[in-house]
Amino acid sequence: MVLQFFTIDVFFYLIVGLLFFFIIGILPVVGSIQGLAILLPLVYKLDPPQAFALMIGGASGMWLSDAACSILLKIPGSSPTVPLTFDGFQLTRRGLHGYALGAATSATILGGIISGIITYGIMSVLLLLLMFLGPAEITIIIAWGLIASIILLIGKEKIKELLSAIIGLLLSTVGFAETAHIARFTFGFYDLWDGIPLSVFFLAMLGLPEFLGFLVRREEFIVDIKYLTYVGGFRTREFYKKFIEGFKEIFRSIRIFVQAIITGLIFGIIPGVGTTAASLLAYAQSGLLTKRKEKLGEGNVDGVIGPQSAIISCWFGDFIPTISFGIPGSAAKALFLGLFMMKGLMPGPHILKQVDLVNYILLLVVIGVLLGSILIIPLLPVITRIVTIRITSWVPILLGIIFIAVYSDRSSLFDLFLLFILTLLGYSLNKYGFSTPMVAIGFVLGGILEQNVALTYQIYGLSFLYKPTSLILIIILVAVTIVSLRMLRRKQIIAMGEEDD
Amino acid sequence: MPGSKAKEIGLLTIITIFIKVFFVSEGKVGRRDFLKYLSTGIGGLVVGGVLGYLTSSYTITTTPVTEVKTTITQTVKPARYFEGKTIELVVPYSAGGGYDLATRSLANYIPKYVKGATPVVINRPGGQALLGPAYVWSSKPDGLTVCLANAYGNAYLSLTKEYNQPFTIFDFLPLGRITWGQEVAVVAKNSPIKTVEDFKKLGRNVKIGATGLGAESGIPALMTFSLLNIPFEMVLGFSGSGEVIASLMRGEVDVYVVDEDTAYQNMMAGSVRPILTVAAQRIKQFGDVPALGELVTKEQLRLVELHDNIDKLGRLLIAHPKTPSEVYDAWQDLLKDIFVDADFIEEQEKIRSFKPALGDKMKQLIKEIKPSLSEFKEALKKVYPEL
Amino acid sequence: MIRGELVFVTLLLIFISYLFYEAIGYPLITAKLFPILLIIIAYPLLLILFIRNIRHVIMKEGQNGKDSRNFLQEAIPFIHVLTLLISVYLLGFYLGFLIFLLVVFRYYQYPLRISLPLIALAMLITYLFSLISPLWDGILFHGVL
Repeated sequence: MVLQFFTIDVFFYLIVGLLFFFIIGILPVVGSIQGLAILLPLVYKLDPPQAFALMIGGASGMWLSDAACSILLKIPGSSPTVPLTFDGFQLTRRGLHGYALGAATSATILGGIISGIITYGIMSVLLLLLMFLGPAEITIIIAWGLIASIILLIGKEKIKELLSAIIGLLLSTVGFAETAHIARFTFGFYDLWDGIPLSVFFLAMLGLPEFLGFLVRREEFIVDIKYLTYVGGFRTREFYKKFIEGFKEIFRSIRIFVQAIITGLIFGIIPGVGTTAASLLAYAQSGLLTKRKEKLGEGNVDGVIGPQSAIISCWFGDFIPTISFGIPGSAAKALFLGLFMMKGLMPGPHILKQVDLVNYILLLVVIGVLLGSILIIPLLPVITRIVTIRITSWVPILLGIIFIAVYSDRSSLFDLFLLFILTLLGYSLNKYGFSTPMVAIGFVLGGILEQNVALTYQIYGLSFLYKPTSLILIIILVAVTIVSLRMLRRKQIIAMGEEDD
Repeated sequence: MPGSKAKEIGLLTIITIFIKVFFVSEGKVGRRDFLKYLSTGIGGLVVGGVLGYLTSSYTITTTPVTEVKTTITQTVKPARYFEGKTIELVVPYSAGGGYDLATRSLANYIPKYVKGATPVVINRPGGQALLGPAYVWSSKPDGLTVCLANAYGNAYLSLTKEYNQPFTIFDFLPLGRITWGQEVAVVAKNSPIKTVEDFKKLGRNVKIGATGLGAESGIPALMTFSLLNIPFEMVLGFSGSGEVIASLMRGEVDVYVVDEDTAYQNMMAGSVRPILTVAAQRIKQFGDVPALGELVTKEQLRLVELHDNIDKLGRLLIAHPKTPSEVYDAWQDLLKDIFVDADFIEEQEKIRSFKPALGDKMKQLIKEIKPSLSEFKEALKKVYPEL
Repeated sequence: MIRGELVFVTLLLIFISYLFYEAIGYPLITAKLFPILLIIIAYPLLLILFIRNIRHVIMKEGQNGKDSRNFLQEAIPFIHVLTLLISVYLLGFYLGFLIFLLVVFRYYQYPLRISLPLIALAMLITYLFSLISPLWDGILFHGVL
């Protein structure tokens, strides 16, 4: 049975892995891929169950510490947790970081359990989905996501926000376009051939401008000064009170949670579409479906629950094509694939006959996610102290760490230079009223969109709209949009009514 | 030179102080403040100078190559050149892939044969596996910076129109080959196409899936279908072999030309079926799948054999072309030992396969390939003008 | 601040025009299509912003003087980042980081007893990182773990 794999040393490796990935998660920018790359040379001598426990189990437990980094510092712990920097950080500014962390924890734990059950139960059904979701369907989904995000997040300054999305889309065209086999907008730099690196982009647009803003305004702490003593959430007991409150929030937003899980699973199963797109899309969806009164982007906790659930379910979903076909669902899974093959495990439909091993891996992932989250909970108050330390004392060190992390990703000094230039752009955009979240959405979705549009056109020409799957998808998405817009409109009317009172 | 580092630091600190003091400080800059900043600057100068002097003895540049020549005598093992030196092994892909694992495996075995050598693995992904060789191209020509390049992929890439690098893979000094493989055209398991002739019966252009024109799935596929006179169109832009195979299974593309190891794995996994080996002769592990060489005319066979030769470049360890010959000999000596190490072989076999060759043989191969390259390109351009 | 926005929008306009010029030069339509479409949509929007800004400037004359002060204050963090970048580029990570921290902590006028432990912490973190991947340019090497 599966339990034969769970020997004592396996647990030992699991704990070591969790500890390692906890640090990786807390560190900004450095994400699962970098952590796995570091461990890879070390697992040569280990038996498969031990190696899997260390790497797969460990990496699964990373997501809560990643979320903590994003929520507390507004610097994404790794690319997928970027949406958490939007609302999660706003909550931290108001001293409600315990609340946000509680919500993220419940999303992680519940998301892990439910995704694990679903993945285990209907893996073959989910595999079928792989058969139906091709470039045409992805184009429709992503295009819808883009339009929905624009409709949703557009506020007063419509022109600037539309421009922000366009800037993001333009930035995504930088690089070598396979379908055109030309290097676009690279200005002669080899390092731009693969486009702007994701980590550099997010840091420059979302993370650093905020911090530099602190320094400019000479603010002392991350938390807005007026909340510092008022909320008092910095002592352990108060922290946990807020934490439990946040934890319970998921039960009020079940619909968003379910939607996010589905989105994440689908995006996980589709190879090539990464976790970042899933969490960004889930963020937009949370905005559409949220029943809370805060606006998305100003501290709506659904903006934490949605993306975090999507990240977890995407992590599970990615395993399905990886194990059953050897098609990695995302970059981290490509590394897992390397690990599998190094240990002599050939992925493919026949692997599903090795029921024990597959169950072992799935169970590892679930245990990793759960343990990773639960073991961190006692450490959270300690971590959150950072919001109470004077910014000028640790921002320079943070800057240095960021530089090192960005450099070690591609061993390229050019990346640092690019970071500086893009930070100037990001800061200016922020300052003059453009919307950097829109730029981020445009950037992430733009790349996937263009690639899939090109593929769709090459395969089907314009007739892709007539395919049965496409038609069904379009109908579903249009229906969802109409319903959501009605809900939004109703909320606006209620809000205006309240104002009149 | 240690002095220049100190100068750089001093200059830097002075500039920064200047900017900070005269533009940025608020209020009057008192004498005490100015002294504070100045002391930081001088301190920086001193620290930098000392450290620069200390570290200079570790930098590689201070050992001119001519000195090395005189110290290597006939009786000393050439590979001992690497003792106390740092070897940079560049991987043109991100961590975890086949090239990365193979390189790290190689790096593990270097200290076993040369004590005191420090191998360091650097990932330089991007530019379709060109950033790695580009890094070597712009590094010091001392033979201590090498790259396990996707030589055959880079070779195909250099045939495309947009290739505008100052080098091609053929310009480098080959140190040794880890492995190589040929391509196989595969179709989906349940595809109606059972033999090559079935392609013509489709009555429409065959859709060939590929990640890009410069990849190994692009140009060999182009070559294959144009030699066989089958009308085709390329579907480019997939992010990786996994996506193309998924597309195959969905019926969106008809065929995919992929390296033999991936083809074999997926065949074993039950997702694809091989239909043709893109080579002059059949490949053993695919049994009686016909080879392209059997289906073409004699003149065309030349092109297929040239393509085979390009494939034989495989995963090639390259160094800067101006590497001194002593270092080249040192590498050959080292690789000679590592390539026969049983554990190393076993590790490489687990990663992909191990079909080694040493530098001299690869030099010979490159000499054979180079003259016929333009002919190859012209032949392909006739069928695919956008090349 | 309106003035700053005008400068920014103008810069964007110029840059996008350059991108347009470059995109037109790409031979294949699949390469050109997406960027050109985007730029065509962006252009009128940018022009509208531009005109709006000019109107603001014309209507609200006499806003000078304050901006130069603000600009310098805003530039400080970027000078920090630039300092770090230059020193890392010239000196490698250890030395560059060290010099940067020394200068910055001096600038913020932290006494030595606070800044030195922080700098030591930073050096420790850098060392840990170096075990993972080699940090370049003139510093002592540490091998990969």
